[in-house]
Amino acid sequence: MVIIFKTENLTKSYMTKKALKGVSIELEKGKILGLLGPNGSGKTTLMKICAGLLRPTSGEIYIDGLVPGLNTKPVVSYLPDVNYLYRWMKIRDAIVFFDEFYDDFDVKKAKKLLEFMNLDENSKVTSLSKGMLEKLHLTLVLSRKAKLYILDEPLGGVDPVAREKIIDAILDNFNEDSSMIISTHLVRDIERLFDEVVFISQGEFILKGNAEELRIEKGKSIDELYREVFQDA
Amino acid sequence: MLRLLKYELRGKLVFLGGTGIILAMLNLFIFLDCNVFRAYKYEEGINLAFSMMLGFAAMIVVIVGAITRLEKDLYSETGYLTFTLPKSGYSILGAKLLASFIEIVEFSILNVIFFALQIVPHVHISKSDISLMFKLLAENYRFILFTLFMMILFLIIFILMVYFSLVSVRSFSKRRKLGKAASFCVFIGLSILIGFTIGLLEKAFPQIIKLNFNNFNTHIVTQNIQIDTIGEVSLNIAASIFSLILPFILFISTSFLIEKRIDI
Repeated sequence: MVIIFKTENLTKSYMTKKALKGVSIELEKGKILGLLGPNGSGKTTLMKICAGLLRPTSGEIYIDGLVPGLNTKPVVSYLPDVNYLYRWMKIRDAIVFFDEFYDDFDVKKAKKLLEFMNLDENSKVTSLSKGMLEKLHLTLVLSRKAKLYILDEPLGGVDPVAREKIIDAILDNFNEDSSMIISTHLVRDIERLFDEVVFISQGEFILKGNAEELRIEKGKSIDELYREVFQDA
Repeated sequence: MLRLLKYELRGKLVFLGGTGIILAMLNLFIFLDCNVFRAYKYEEGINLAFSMMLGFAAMIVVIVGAITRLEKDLYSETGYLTFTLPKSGYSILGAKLLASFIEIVEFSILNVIFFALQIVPHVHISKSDISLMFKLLAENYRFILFTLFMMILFLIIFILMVYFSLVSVRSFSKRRKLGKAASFCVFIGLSILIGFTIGLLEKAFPQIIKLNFNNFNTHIVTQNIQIDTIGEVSLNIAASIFSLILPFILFISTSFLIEKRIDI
């Protein structure tokens, strides 16, 4: 069993507010983890720490045995929940950019994905709709052969048809040598992807386990479980 | 770093290209107004004053652009792209510094050209004047290089001080408005601290070194060129060494903060 991602008592504080309160988790190679919780629960904070954008206040975190930072950036493929590409870029420029900076970027795969997502290489990034942007970001992120993929709300603000395309793209392009963390609050559409799930609320893990075992144990889908757990959120 | 540099330059290409074109058009307008439409005469020096003002304004635009280059990555979404790249703090900062430096040098050259264009039609420069100028340049290259070096050093220190102020504040504050005001305060504090340190060093170690550019202690007057200069420059040794080390200290500490401390 190879552990790709591990946290131990991880905390993150902003001044007086605690965004993460001592969370511990492990993720094996080849598994997809669903990080589920309402807005402001700490999902993005945890993902940004994994991506090396935030520093934890205390506790431990390892990606492929390394503390997040310069050494883990080549093996982590991160999809933030915002448009992070330069405004002057066309889709073609974004592909070239990723190809130049990431050794594991596969241009052929990117072009195939662009075709699958019906995206035109000559389109300007600023002219794309929210759904198209999400598809482009996903194309860039999945075209890398990373050890850990981190997808922050990949379905946020995307119409149902595009959602299906995005989920299909994730399924088709995920390989057993990698692991993936997906955060979402749109659980129903995507729960079939998850091997493991973690329910997070106010910076704490309130429920975690194997997705299939939880379904059997609770007699409910993950979506139903999510609604039950976060009914007051 | 060179790849990053390419994208840094590309990112400001349209903005600075536009600024350059506007600068050129306004200079052309001043040139025509002075030489063709005759709204004012060259002798009044108004065209030169306008050209200098335009050049000054353009330099402010370029320097503000250099500052916002890092500020944007620290406070907007592009930071997610820049700071997840497998590039060290040195590379990221080095690319930004170099790009800013290139742009400032580019616009300095443009300003000199536009200013010269305002003068050239009114000054008769003979072949002997030109050969004299080249002779002076060749004879006094040490002084010219020294002056250029000092200008570049102060420019780099200035940009690095701004970058250090931005990054150090971003290391403990996420709020954009508060961050900008705090960065300005840090910059002022840092300027005072550096000035104070130089003063202390000059008092504690008053030894000076005299750089004698003895070729340049000339007073030359030809028909159109007059050059008066001093041939000797005195430098406090301790303060000079500090000024030479300072950019390295600022660069290393800012790179460290970028790589290890900032929260995006």
